[in-house]
Amino acid sequence: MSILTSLRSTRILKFLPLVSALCILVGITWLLLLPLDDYSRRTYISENALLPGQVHTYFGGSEQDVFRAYRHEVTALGKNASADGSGVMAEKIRGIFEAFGLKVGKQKFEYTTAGGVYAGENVYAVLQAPRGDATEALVLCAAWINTEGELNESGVALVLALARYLKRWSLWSKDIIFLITSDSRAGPQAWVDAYHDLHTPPAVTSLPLKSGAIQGVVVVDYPTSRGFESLHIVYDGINGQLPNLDLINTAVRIASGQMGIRTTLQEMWSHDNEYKDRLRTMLRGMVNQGLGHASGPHSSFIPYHIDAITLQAYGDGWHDEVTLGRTVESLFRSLNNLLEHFHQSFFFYLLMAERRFVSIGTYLPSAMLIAVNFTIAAIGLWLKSGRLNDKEDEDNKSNDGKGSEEKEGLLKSGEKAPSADEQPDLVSEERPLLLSMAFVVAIHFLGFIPLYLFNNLDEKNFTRAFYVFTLLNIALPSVLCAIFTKSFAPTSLHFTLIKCFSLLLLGMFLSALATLNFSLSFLIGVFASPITFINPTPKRKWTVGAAWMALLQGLTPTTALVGVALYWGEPLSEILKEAAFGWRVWGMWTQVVVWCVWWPAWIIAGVLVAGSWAVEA
Amino acid sequence: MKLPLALVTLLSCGALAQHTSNWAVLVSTSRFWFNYRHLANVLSMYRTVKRLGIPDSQIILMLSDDIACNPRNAFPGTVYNNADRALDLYGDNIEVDYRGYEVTVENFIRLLTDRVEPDTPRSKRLLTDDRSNIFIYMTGHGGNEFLKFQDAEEISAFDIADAFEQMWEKKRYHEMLFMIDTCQANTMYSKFYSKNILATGSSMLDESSYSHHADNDVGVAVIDRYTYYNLEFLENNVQSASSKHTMKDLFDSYETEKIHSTPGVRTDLFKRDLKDVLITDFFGNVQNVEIDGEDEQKWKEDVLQLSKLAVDFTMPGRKNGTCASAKASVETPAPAIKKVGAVRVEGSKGWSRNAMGVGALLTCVAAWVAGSALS
Amino acid sequence: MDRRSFTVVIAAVILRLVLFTAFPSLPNLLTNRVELSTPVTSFKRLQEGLFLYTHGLSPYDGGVFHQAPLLLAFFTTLPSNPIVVYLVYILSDVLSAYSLIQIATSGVSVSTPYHTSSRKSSTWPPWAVAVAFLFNPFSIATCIARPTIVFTNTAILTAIAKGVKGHGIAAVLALAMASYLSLYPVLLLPPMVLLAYDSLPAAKKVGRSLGSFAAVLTAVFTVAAAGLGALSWGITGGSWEFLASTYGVHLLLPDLTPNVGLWWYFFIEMFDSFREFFLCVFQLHLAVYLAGLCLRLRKQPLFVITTLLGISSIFKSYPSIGDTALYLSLLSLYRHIFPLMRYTFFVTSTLLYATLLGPAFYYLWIYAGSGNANFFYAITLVWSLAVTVLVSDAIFAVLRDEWETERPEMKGKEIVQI
Repeated sequence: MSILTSLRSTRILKFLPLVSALCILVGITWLLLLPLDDYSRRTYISENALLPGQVHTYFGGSEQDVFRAYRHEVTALGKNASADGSGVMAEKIRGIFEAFGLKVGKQKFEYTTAGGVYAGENVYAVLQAPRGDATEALVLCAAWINTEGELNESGVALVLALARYLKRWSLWSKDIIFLITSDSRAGPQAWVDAYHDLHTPPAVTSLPLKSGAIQGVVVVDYPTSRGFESLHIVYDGINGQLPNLDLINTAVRIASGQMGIRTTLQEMWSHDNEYKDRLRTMLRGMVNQGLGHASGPHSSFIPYHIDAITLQAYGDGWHDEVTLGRTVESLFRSLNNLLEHFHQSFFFYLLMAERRFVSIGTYLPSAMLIAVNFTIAAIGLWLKSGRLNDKEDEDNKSNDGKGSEEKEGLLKSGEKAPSADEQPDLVSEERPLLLSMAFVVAIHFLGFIPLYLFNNLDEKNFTRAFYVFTLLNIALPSVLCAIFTKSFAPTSLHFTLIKCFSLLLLGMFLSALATLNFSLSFLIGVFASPITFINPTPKRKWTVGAAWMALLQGLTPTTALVGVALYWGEPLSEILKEAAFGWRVWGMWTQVVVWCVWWPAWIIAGVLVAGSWAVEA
Repeated sequence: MKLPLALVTLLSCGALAQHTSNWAVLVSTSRFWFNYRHLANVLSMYRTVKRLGIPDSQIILMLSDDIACNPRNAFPGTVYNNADRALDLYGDNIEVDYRGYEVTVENFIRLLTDRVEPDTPRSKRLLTDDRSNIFIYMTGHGGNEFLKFQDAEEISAFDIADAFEQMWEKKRYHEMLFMIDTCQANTMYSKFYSKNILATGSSMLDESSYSHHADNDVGVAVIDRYTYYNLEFLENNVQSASSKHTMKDLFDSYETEKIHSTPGVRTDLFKRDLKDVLITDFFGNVQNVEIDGEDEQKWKEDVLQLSKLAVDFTMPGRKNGTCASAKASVETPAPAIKKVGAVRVEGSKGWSRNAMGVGALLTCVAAWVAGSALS
Repeated sequence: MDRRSFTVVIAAVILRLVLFTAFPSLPNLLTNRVELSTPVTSFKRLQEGLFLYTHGLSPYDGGVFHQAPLLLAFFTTLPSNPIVVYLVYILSDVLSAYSLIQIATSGVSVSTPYHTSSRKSSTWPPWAVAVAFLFNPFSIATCIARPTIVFTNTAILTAIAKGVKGHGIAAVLALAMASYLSLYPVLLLPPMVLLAYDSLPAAKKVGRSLGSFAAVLTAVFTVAAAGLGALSWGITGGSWEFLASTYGVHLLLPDLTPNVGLWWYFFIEMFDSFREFFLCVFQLHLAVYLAGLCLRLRKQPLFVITTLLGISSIFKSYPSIGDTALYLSLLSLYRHIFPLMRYTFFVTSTLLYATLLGPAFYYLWIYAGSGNANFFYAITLVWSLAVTVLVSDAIFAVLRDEWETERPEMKGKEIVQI
């Protein structure tokens, strides 16, 4: 009659779990193969216009003295004024910019999230291109306080010195905006929101001065007054979006090729370009991408389709501010050559060394395979649920005790299927969909509760709330299962269908997510993969059930959260604060995915395992 | 217009197989700042042919011309072909005939075949005859049997070959030198099939052509290798229009190691031996004047009469043509003319509109009630 | 309307009100979604037209507004309060649900004078049909996004509700309104005539041939459509401009804003010289099913209407999710044939996939700039494929049902095409 029946009549059904397992295995192996030479590619500049490193740079000489003077001022200001820039910093910087003859604007912002207040003032100056048409702009940015909370003394001073220096050139085709934000997290976001008129006054004030469409952003992070050893390029954007690979390539090429500075990625301070280090770089990149948080001031720009990177001075070495200044100068000359924006190259990639990457076509199958495993399992369960009915039907005819028992359950559940004796063909096609579907949907809506809680509680209560939630979370599947079985008397068919829909949704969400944020989809897929293999029919020994439950408890979102906290070595409350901040300020979607996709799938898996006791008892 | 010219050339066609005028068509088909070197290539060639005597009126220069005054140019208003910046190619008297977005495949083919609008100025026309030697130089980004025009369209080797054949049929050239500097340049002349064409290119199939060097203050490559070494030879050896160097000398000077690609020469369509072909036959303005003493006056009068006849013959037809089209445009119903311009926006005036709206809605409701009652 | 249906409607109204008021940014967010608002139905464009209209300019100036003039008249008479607009849209949905309840109550979907399904017992009660319409996420999203397709849908459902009662004139009047609002419902006229004729009480049928009945109704339809045109002429200040700007847009597709349909991408890629030809082909393609379906499914004109709506929700020039929602709600009247459908799981999961991936790819294309138009178009193809499979599967199931009713001994047997 159809493909489905032909599928049912063959023995493919039995192989489906095997296919699922194979998908997961191949998906993970695929990812592990990527760092090999055969699967990754060397980076190259695909945008002809960039011409990286083809210019002489002249920053240096007397500019170095100017730089030192500014650094002196910045250090003094940093010691005196309160750290978050209560307006003193902005006022002072404004004076310096105005002395160059640049137009200056200031912007105040204040975000309130999870009981905390994040306020500050950004200051920026616009260098109008002498012969340009003011339709495009580049941004050179330094945060007053960097992501580590240190005073970015050399970084800010370098931006000031470069502003003075770059103004002397007449060859800019785009305006250059010099931006000093008062912090690394909220400031850039407030500024870029206001630049595109998507801010929320009065908490974030409008910009008094604007230029053209921003084509590229370079952030300088150089918090010491000593020399540095290597340049750390940070590129992750919010929600795992990445800047155009050409920008990173250009920076790498200029820094290492022209200036002779070693470049590093993803905090891999030493990198031998062998398999192990490549894999570690890639995995670190995936974790950052998956978490979707802002890894630097540049991250806020990326969702606006502005390519941005942060250049971080790292370690103690003999490179000084002049080398960094020249790198930035050369980088800006290259960006200046751009026509419109970065057209070509890659927006989806995984970097595994500064000159080695894989593009989406090569890596996407791994996440897709894992997502597809859930879909395959769901299809298998759907077919199986049809067979369950058939079997019941046969059982019914032969008056087998077990079968009739299940039959009663089926009728009890309130389905209006006509009696099987009259129309046997109908029963084989009809499944008790409504209850299972409603249960799955309800659990997914349940996810909004933790989402709301963890975004709206006061930060002081985060740790306590988290522990309470974790405890509740352990018991929740069993409780839900008990309630469910008591009030609806579900049969194994119901459980099969519940699992079917849950896996279908999970597979669907993860494959859609894989196109937006590959890493998050992959990580959640791996964590959730055991769910595929839970047997939904409640015929299992309690020891097996207990073992399953223990395994599941090890794979909850809450456990993952603890893992992230350990990975970064930060207290839990900090992580939760960051998450709430990200949700409110950056528009970070990670929490939604965790609480409304992963957590419901986990809960349903728990209910299925718990069902083995509840139903049998 | 064309006919009298053709007649003139027909009549003047003598037995001597020598040219009486030199023309040059120099084309840079690319745009944008990072293609600086293509403009420099073409301007260098422009400078060379001018140096050897071809006047601006006989040089057609096609280029995007967006480099000298590009905001990115550190030396505004200049174009250099060498990092020493000794010679500003843009400083002299430059006459660009097709610039910016006029550099299109269509314009190029129309120029070659002289199928142009009647009101095209002389400076944009290739007014050659069957005694003209033409030097065509092209540079830009190309591929296997095609050349891109300004990232928007491309010309294929077949298009050029057909255009040249048409030129030959229309007796628009005596001999032609086709020189091209792009990637896979030699493929561009592989399809030629018309007589008396000598062709040379910078690189073979599947080979790229490379730039010679970059100027690190300008920040871009300033000249291509093939053109660079051509120019080097011309500058060093062909000092004046009286130079006796031959094309063979030029082609023999090509070295693959220097050019980094394999330059090609195609001679099978060209009947003279390269040893006898002076470089100045194409690059210079060396004219062989024919003197036909007898009945000169009569001959001139004949020509005058003929051209008058021809003008009478062609002009009315053209007039008819324009009349017909004018008529046609009258016959087609004129589209309703809308007032263009600022319209005063009235303030939202309520009641009359509202009344009309309410009336319309009430009509609908009434119709509905009536319809329901009827059925 | 029984008590249960009433409860359902009240619940739906409350849900919509809550969505409108508790999430004030939601209506505008959804209004901007291309899946919900097309150039010929968008609420945003309606506002533009209203502004021009109330300021004494031609609403069709500027080429943004492509909707019927009566809508302008209607919205200018409304007080300019967003709550009122919300209420109008909610009311429209309620009327649609009311019509659906009437249609379900009449039982036309299982029993017509020529055919009574053997699976009659397994239909959904009217309230369940109302639930399937009112709580369908697609219907809800459409209502919140406020495209004018909502009014078209209400008019179509009203026409059907009148048709199943045998009120032919009222049915074609409502259909004329629907066609006036968005042109394509004009294709429903023949099955609507059949439906009304079949539903006439036996007493009234005496002495009335189908031919004369059809002639009368067609005449009424023409007069009503002409009347609506005349009214529009009056509303727009004595200008026929609206014809080209509304129906012309439906027919000639000048606006290539992306939508869930198949046309926009195709006509972006089209060489100009082929444009007219393919416009004709695409438009004819919509009409081509009409005669065949009316003949083959003569016994069930309501199903012809349902299927035609399904087809036009895929192939019309500016389809939206609202069209699919209408089709799905009518399909819920055919609960009894669901067991005979073969690809329900496939269709459901494909539709869900497309619903998720569509906005994701649109985001990648328009906002992130890392994807391109092909991404989104691929998903609209998938969406259309799923709806196509659903439509054809439903036709298969209905035909099978008819066949099994004729030959009860064949029930449950496999059929193989040879």
